[in-house]
Amino acid sequence: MKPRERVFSAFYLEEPDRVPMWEAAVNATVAEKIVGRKYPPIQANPPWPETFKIDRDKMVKLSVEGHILCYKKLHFDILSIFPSPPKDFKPTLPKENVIIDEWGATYRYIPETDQAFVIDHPIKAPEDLEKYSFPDPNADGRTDIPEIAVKMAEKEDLAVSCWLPGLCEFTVANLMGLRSFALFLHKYPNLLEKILNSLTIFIIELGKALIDVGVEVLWFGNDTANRNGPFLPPRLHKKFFVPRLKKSVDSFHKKGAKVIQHSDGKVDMLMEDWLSIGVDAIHPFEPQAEMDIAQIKRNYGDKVCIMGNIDVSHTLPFGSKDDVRNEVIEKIKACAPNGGYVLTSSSSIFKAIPVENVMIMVKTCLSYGIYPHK
Amino acid sequence: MCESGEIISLIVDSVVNLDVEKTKELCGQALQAEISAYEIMTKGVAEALRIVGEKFETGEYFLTELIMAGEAAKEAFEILKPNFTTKRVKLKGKVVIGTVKGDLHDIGKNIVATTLIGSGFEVFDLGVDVLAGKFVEKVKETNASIVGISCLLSTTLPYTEEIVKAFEKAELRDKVKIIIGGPPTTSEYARKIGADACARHAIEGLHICERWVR
Repeated sequence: MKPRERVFSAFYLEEPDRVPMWEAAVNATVAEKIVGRKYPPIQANPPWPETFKIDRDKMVKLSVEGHILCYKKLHFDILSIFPSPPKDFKPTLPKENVIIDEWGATYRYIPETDQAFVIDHPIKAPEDLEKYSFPDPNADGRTDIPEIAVKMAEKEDLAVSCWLPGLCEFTVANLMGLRSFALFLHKYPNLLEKILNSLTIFIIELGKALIDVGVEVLWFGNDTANRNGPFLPPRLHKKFFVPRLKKSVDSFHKKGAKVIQHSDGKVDMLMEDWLSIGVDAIHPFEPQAEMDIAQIKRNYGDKVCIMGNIDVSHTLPFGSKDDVRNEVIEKIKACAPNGGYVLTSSSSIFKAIPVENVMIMVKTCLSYGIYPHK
Repeated sequence: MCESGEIISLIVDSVVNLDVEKTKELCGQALQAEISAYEIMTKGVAEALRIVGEKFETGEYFLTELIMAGEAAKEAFEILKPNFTTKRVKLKGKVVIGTVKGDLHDIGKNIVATTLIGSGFEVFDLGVDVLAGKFVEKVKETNASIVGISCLLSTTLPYTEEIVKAFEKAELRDKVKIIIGGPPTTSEYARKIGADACARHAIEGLHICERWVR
């Protein structure tokens, strides 16, 4: 089977020739070791400052070329890309390693861990909302990377998935911060609805534009839980998020795309909500958050494609080769039968994960993930 | 004007119902009615946090509710604080808290700090991206008996061990209890690096600290 066909058969809950593989993101330092050269990372938030130092068209081409090579070397069956920053967007760089993105969120980059963190949010109090304007989802250039990625991936028969801001995660992590989110949720619910309505419009418009340039799978980067459970009471998730997420998913389905819901954390209380929204796949079921993927497979394996669960908290960064191999075999045994499983880490590949362990994960899937699995 | 027991019970209700403004207003009223800040804090605010903690642990309350109750407790503490100093009320214990080097996440740490403050601890918050030496320095300066280390990333997890080692090197390890918390931390890992405990969430962290100072 070709990679695209393989991953789509998993989305259709059918058995492919082997368990397909995907990662939401591969850290730039790890990717450099895999590819053997540096390339501008594909990442939406924050746009990497270095990428603005080179010619934009060149940056887009180099990013996509490097990224496809990385995913091919890892035998992944579906690319994961991010929309590009608009053509006229110039980031604000108040000081070294600090960047303000087009949403007004301030990030600080820590070179040591090769990660950026949001350190300030644009909407922290009701008065911030009055002067806030949401970015234009159809801004010129936003689909440049996806469009080129689709064209290049076609030659390799790779499917292309693209990140979309998840309604809950983006509100909590980027626009407001958890403290302000809690404040709006419990004290100013009408204002929160206003924010969510604007963000939903952005998500739907951007999603449609991505589908128009050939993206077939959209994934919501939508952390809604930590390892103890959902951030917010499930009754409020149902009220504030489910209808808006459903509206987005329906509009993407109408245009023929598949949708992956991504959330770290302990998500068992949210599973029924996501099934009611109609997502095609759910990712990544963190073992550290007590997510038992064998149980998830038994409960939901005939309803939705499940993705993930190779532990990024301990096994991948700190485990031995045998630990990685054993865990991959265990998860394939539990999830592969009858199809509907895509093997991925329980979040993404970050800098602390040795390339050797990533390669063991891949090799084990290539040999042990062959169907039929009983 | 309400009876003192009645005001205290209204404070409990206002925190449990996540009403920050009402909590502030009632704390002011309670002080005016000459109820001691210590009584308002222990029988009102801390009792409310105990109830909220219980609701969180049994799955009735969620993180956003814990945050709002913590905010109400923090605001109450701000109003009551001047009266603590003048009347020299003994707080439960001193805690130095911070997020490890290389990690800028402060949500979990802030919830823990607020919960501890609201429950009667004195908290010295070092912020985020904190070097091991800073924890040691602050303990020397404040004579705190508990160190809380927050860590969100597996990438920065090894730095928790650096902090434990820094206390060993400064010969202060037997003077402090060290508790770690955050997604990649486990009790097993805490034992491995020589920390005293690992908390899965703020309320468990509070229970552990309370046990240590009892």
